[in-house]
Amino acid sequence: MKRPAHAAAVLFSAMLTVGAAAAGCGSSAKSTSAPAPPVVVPGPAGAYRDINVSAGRREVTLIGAQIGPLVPLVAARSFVPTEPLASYGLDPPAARLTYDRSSGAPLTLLVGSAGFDAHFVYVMDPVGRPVYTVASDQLRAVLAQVGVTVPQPTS
Amino acid sequence: MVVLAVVVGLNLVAYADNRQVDLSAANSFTLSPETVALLHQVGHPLQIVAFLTTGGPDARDASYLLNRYREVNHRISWSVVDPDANPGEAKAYGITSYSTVVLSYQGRRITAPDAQEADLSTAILRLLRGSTQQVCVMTGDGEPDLQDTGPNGLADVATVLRQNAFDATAVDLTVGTGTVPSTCAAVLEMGPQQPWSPGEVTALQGYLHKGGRLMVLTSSLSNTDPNAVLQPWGIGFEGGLVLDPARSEGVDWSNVVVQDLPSAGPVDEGVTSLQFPAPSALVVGRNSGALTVEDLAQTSSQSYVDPDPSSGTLTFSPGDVPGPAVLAAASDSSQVLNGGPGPAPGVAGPSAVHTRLFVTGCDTWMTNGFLGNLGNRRFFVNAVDWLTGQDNLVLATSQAPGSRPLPLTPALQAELLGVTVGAVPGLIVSAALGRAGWLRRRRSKRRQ
Repeated sequence: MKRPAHAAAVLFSAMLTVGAAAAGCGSSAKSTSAPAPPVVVPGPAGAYRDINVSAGRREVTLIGAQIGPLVPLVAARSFVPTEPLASYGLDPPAARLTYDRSSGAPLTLLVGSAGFDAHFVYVMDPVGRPVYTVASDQLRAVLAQVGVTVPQPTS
Repeated sequence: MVVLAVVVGLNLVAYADNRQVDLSAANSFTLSPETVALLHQVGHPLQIVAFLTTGGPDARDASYLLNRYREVNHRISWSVVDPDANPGEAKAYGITSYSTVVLSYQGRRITAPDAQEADLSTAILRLLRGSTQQVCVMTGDGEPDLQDTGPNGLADVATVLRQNAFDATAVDLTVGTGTVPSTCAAVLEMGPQQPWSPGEVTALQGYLHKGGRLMVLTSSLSNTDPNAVLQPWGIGFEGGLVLDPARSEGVDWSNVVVQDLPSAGPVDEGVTSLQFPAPSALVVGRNSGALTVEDLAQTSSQSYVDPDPSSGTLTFSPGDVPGPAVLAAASDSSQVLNGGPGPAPGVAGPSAVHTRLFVTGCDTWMTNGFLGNLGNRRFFVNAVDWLTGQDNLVLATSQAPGSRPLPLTPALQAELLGVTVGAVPGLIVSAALGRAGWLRRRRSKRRQ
């Protein structure tokens, strides 16, 4: 008497498993949920002694509260470059940001040109390959100190 | 088990044959008949490049739409390019904003402002037509220059016109014959600073009476009084300085952000906001007979017009006129003229003429410094399209707004497979087997 109910339960479980596995192949959650903004430089600000900003022969060193706008440095997005780095203004870079950590090796970022609509600036960690897009407003004032002009957005 | 096999088999067969049926109320996911007919006329390779953030919903929707285009005509090829990741390609195409679509056909290239069916189809129609229309830009009264790339110049306007298959030609009515050339599809008077000469006024009046298409962008900062030309067509220039504490850029109340665009016509289509620095007010008359006058842009109810801003106080004071104020208007008039070219080529007799007038009480919103802000660029393109009679093309291919296609992405297909092949048949079969078991137990109990 128990056989039909048992068979139904087993079959039902199997069907659900197959269905769930098939649905999982598309990983719809991954494809529909917005990815978290990539963190280029993690906080807190206290983890860094100073930040050196350089462009050509000009350079400034930011200390104390001055480093606040650059830590954490969060990008709008990141991508693997599909064009030569010169297209992003990264070869040669327009400027360099060197974060002097309180403990550990310094972190250097290359700063490129503004994007096509000037809403962001390309930034790259020379160790890794992804190119980041960081809001122009976050970098404009800092870069102006070393003579690098970030244009205003076109739209 | 036979039932299970049949159910699973049927689902697998159905899954293998993808067909889409548009069940939306307005057939929003189906190309309009006008677009389909248009696409059948594409006889040579047509390349469409949409500049969108790949992976985003806009790119997905654009891909869906462009696939429909290619399904109709395989001479059409398309690609979606991420302008962030491909700045060199974006620069090569002159892209300055997301969603720009570049269409290339037989050596000609124009841009569409968005990857929507109306924009794409209108652009294709222009490409198929093959010819550019001449728009005449007035000079001689201190207007900004089409070559000027500074913030007060009109170089971006020249670019936009060129990208939309218009040939911008400078026309100086203060010299020579003082008449508008017959080759002008429209006359654009953008930001005159000096008063029009009597000859210019006469020339413009005569032009409009013969079915001319005129754009006048002026403000109270100008010494030009356009009313002798505008008022016969139901639009008056009131002057003053419009201030809008509720909708302005920063603390400058005269840097007005326009969000009320009440017209359902083609000039306001796709425009949600405008930036009008230091605008003046217009007066819009009533419709009468064949004359249709329409308010295109107005300020908020908290705005007001200061008739004399030079008095020093910009806060609301006695003498100021409460808002909302009209900042842009359009006039459309049809009339029958005796004589002229006649109703058809080579046929003498009365002919119908169609006069159109587009006016704004601001003469800086289309300059390089502001054209790219908010919806200014789209507003300008729409206005030129409407003046030159190309709005019919837009309307002919417009879809109901709010189109939300449901593309069969791989993820969605996997979900559908899981539900239709796995979960749903499983539930049905399980329910049937469970019911059978329950009945057997029940019978057994009765026998006992």
